[in-house]
This record gives sequence, C-alpha cells and structure tokens, in this order.
Amino acid sequence: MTNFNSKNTILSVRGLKKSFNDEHVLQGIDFMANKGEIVSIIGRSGCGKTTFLRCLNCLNILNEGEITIGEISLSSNDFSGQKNVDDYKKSDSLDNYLKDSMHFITNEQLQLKVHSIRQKVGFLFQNLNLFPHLSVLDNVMLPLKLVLDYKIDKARIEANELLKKVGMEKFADRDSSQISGGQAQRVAIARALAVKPDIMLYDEPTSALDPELVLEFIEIVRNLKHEGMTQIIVTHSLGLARNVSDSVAFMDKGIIVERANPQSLFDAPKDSRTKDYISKLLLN
Amino acid sequence: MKIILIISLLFLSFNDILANELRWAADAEGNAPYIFQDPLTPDHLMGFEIDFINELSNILDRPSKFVQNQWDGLIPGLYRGDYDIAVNGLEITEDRKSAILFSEPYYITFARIVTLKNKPDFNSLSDLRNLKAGCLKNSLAERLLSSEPSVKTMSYEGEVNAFEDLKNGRLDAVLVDEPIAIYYASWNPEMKMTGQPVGKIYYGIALRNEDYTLLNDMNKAISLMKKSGILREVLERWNLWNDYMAEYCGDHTESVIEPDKYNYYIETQIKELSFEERIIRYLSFMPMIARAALMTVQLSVLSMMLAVVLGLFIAIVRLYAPVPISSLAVAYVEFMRGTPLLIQLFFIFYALPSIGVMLSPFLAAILGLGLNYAAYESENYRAGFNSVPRGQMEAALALGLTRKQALRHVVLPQAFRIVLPPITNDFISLLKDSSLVSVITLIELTKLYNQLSSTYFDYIGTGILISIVYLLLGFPFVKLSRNLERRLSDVVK
Repeated sequence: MTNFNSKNTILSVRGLKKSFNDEHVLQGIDFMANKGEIVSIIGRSGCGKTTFLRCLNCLNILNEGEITIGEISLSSNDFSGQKNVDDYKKSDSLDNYLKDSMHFITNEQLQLKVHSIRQKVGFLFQNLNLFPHLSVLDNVMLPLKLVLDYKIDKARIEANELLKKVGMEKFADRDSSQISGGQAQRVAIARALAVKPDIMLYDEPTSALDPELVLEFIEIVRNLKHEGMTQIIVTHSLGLARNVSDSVAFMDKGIIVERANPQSLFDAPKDSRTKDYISKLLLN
Repeated sequence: MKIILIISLLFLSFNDILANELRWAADAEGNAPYIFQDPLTPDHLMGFEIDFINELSNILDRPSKFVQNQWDGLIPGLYRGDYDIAVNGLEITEDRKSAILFSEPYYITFARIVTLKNKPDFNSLSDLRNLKAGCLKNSLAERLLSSEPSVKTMSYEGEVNAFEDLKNGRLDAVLVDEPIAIYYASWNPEMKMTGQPVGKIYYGIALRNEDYTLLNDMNKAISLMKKSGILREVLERWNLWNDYMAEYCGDHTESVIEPDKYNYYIETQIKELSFEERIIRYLSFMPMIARAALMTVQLSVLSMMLAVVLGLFIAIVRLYAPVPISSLAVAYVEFMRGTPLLIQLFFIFYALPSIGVMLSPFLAAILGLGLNYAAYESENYRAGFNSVPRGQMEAALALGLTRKQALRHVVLPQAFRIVLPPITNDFISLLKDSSLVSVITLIELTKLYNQLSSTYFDYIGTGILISIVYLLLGFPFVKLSRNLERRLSDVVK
C-alpha cells in the first residue's frame, strides 16, 4: 500500500459511482494499480465487483468519478450531454439488447477515447463469449485484423504466437465450439491479449474450472506478470486470490472496504465486514 | 453497381421506341375472337382485332406494335404512355367517355342469351325471371341484367368461367356479347344461342383524352375501311358480319366471303386430341414457358436481391438507430406488409408517372416486389439479430472493435445462419407472388397459364405443367440454401 507512486501507477480510479435506475451499485470507488501488479477483488455476489470491471472497460457508463489509464483520462463529465441508457440489467428486452453504453454516444472524441481505453484494457468475460462462428485461430485473428489493421499473414503468425503462449497452438484449426471450457478460456485470453493491452481484467475466471485447470490458469497469469501485465481478478476463490495476488481488495455494497497484501487481508483483516466475509469463505 | 447498370439499360430499351410506330394494347388472355393465341401455334396471336389493326396500320402507313396489358389496366396504361391506343372489345359508354376519347365504332354488335341444349328457349330477358344468369363484369349484359331484379345475376371476370358454370349447372343462362356467343357456344354440341338480340354494343378505339390528331386519323381510317369494304372482309372472315354492321356500312349485299378464320378456329376446338397430340401440344408450349419462366426467375431473383439488401438496412436502422429514425423503419415495415402488394404495384406503375416517375414495367415490378418483400426480410433479420446473445456484441466491443465492425464480423454472420431458412421460404413465396406483375403488362408463368388454359380449355393439364415448372424453378434455390445452411451450422454448433 505504501509504494504507490505516480511513475508506476497505470490505473487510477477516483470517486467512481454507478447506478442502474435506483440501484446504487458503485458508491464511490477509489482504486489504484501499479504496472505489473496483480490485484484480486473479492466480495459477496452483488457487491459491484463485476460492474466495477465493466466500467473500467467502458462497457458501462460512469455516473460520477474519473478513470485514468496510462495517459488517458475518462471522467463522468465526458458523458454529459450523452443520453444515459446503459442500464444493461433493464434493457434485456429483445429489441434493446444492443443498446448498451456506447449506443447513443454521438460525441466522436468520446468514442475515440473509449475505443483507445478498450485497446489498453483486455477483458475476460465470465462466460468467455468466444465467437462460435469462427475457428480458434480466427477468434484470435479477428481483433488483429480489425483493431490493429494487420494483414492476414501477419495476423496469422501473431495469432499462432498468442495461442502458443496459452498452450493452444495445436487447436488453432478447431471450431471454437468444439473445445472444452478450460481450452476455451485460454483461447479467450489469447484473444484478449491480441490487441496488446496494458491491463487484463478477469471476471470470475476459475468459477467453472477443475482444480487442475485452475493451476494452469494461475501459470498463465504468472507468466503475464513477468511480461509486466497489470491484472485485476474478480474472484470468489480464496486460493486463487491468496496465491497469485500482490494485493487483495474486499468490496462490500459498492465500496472497497479494505485492501492489503493477501496474507494480511486473509489472516488479519482489519474491518469487521471483511472479517465476517472471510470467516464464511473459510468454512467452504 | 451491377444493379444500377441493369436498371439504366432497362430505361434505355424502354425509351428506345420508333416515333412512327402505332403502339396498341390488348389483353391476349384467350379472348376469341378478339385477340387470342393461335391454337395450333400458340406462340402466335390471332383475332379479328389484330386483322383490323393490320388494315388500320396499312391505311395510316404506320407499323403497328402490340403491347400486352391486363384488360383492367388498358386505360391506365394509355395514360402511362405505354401505348397510343387500346383495342380490345372496349364498349363505348358514357362512363368511359369521361376518361378517354373513343373513335367511331369499328364494330357494332349486341348481347345474346346462351343456354344448354336441354333447357327451354329463352326469348328475352324476362324469360329468365327467377333463374340464374351469368355475364361479364362491366359489360352491357351486366347492366341489362341488373335492371331485371328478378333475375339472379352472377358476374364473371372471364367468359370461360361463366360457360363452365353453365355446363355444371350453377347457371341457367349466360348473357354475352354476340362474338363471344358465336365463338364459344354456336359450335358447341351442349349449348345453343337463343332468343332475340338484346341491346346494342359499340366497340371503339380508346385514346388518351388530349389526342385529337390521332383520333382524327383513326376516324378517317375507319370511315375508309367501311366504304372500301375492307372492314366487311375482315369481319366476314371471322363470321362476325351482322345486320347492324350492314346498316352501319350501308352495305346490304349478299355475303360472298368464306369465314375461313372462324372455320379454322372451330376445327381446332371440335377436334378431339389423342394422347400423342396432346403431348405434342404441350411440347409446343415449351418456348413460351421458357420465356415466361425466365421472366419469373429474373423478377424473383432481382427483387429478392433488392429485398435482402434493403431489408438488412431497415433491420439495422430499426435495431440500432436512435428513436426517431428507428421508428421510421417500423413505420415502413408496418405500411409495406400491411397494405396489399397488388395496390402497391398499381401505385408504382400507374400513379407514379403522374408525378414524373416513369418506370418500365420490368423495373416497376422489381421495385414493387422488392420494396414489399424488404419489409418481410427486415423482420427476419431482426429475429436473427436478436437471437445472437448480447455477450457477443459486448465481447467484440471489449476487444476494441468498433460497433460497425462488431455488427459486420460478429453479429451478422451468426444472425445470417438463423435468417437463411426464412429467407429461402420467402423467396419461394416470391416466385409465386411474382405472378401479380401481370397487372402491369408483364407475361410470366401464371399469366401464361391463364392464356394457355383459356385458349385450350385445358385447365388441369396446363395447370400441372406450369406447377411443375414452378417447382423446378424453386428447387435449385432450396437446395442451395440447404447446403449453405449445413455449412454454416457445421461451424456453429
């Protein structure tokens, strides 16, 4: 907690608030992450962990506060004048399904900003969202071709490199719907890495994995750390948080209650809410 | 780009008309003796009105050009400028005179009662009291019968159906113009013409209201044909010379001319065909069927292309554009599928020229069918888009794709697989709906069926033949779509 300095800080969030209709999901989040740091975020379901990640990747509009990623700053003021229609929970009706946060952004500068933030931030969805109509290789090639404007040959070489990195190079020609859950996760990671993000966000990455596969995931995360990747992991898994994190943040009711290195947080939590949650977690 | 090229070519060919040509219109849908297909060489049209026009064009020294149009559309087509005159048993009536000019009559006739041989003779309309009588729509016969309220009257689109109903007992008598009676009943062993001539009917050449110069030419030519005996010769060869015409032409001399055309027609009707002859007849239809099938396929494929592209656009606007614009798309869909295609076609073909938009029949047909089907296709697309999970779009955006890229490369390919079967379905339906374009002068398969079946009174044989052609036309497209579907679903499990 002491060694935050502006040189090393790659992500800083100040006063982030977010609500869907009358539901105040995030109630003022302050958060920082250094380059190469691995931060786990734990907390009960519904405490706002996932929404926090989605805001970092501009999948939801922020109501208040500011997010700085590298040199890019996105503040809630940027969205003034834009219709706030990102209530994805509300908009599950069929016709509205694509009317997400970016739908009514008419301001071109804002669009560019959002676009560049998304390139700096990779996102691993809980259900992965591989593109089922594309092969494993094509899933990884798509962002290379469309976002980085690579020519096909270069994109193919690069995509194969990325697949090798996650140990999936042998599955390049498979249909993305014909691989197992653990394999699909690694492909999704390779795909997210394609646009060379500085930060990776993982939404409950191990919730559907066998214990052995969790180890494989941890290995990938550690390798990425060696390359200097900043990683934020939303998880319910005590083991994962304890084993890979540089620090762990506990969230409750839309705020970050406590943040410390894994050992202190799990063994000597300061706040009573943290204590309560961790004691229940240990019973599992 | 290709479509634009085709469209501009259509315009060119349409405007490429010889200035001197006398373009005349009629409906060749089995209207013996007016204009109909030669029963022995069905590719060739014949009829007393064709002979009349040929003599007319000789006198005027203007080559004649026949334009096919649906009977109901003959007068609107005149004002579209597709042709200069309409000649097709058009009776000179006060109603019609308010809309068009009529030449002096080129033929005068009357209505005639036709009934079955085993029925009593009906001398006049009053003998039909409490009986059922058939007639043609918008004919003198219909007006006469409506003034006899005790006669139960049924109006028909075509005389053939009226005679069919007479034979199968739905009617006791049919009241028709005498030429029709002569050509459908006089030689028929089951039927007889009975009673006195009823009323008086004048057939005139229809012209546009302002066309007085042409009217003058027409009247001069008709007067010349009356005096020179040319008109009489034409009519006698068709066995249509009558007392009214003798009076009109001032020519009461005995007839010396053989009704060779009439005899030719009757011979073809009386003759029973052997199986082989029937097959040979069907084979003789083939060139016409090929042409009509080509028309049907061209219309369907081109209008479906328009519908599929425009439908996609409408669906995207409806789903992804901001509210005021997306509701325009909703309005378009509701309007186009909520109003009859037939009326839309009429509107595009006959109403648009009045605001200066003059489309060739082919282009009007493609536009009419395409705009209409685009509404249905957009709904298919919408269903397809909505069936792609929301997370797919989010994942694409999270990777840094733009919204457009995400739609194009992630959502659309997945939606397309779902949309393919209903689009194929609509295409098959469009193949058959394309028959509606016969109202705007095009001859496609169904129109050809109507022409052929009423020329030969062979509804079943011709019907089966044309149905098979429709099936064969649709089949390759069904097959193509199945293959494509299988390929796509191999990928998406």
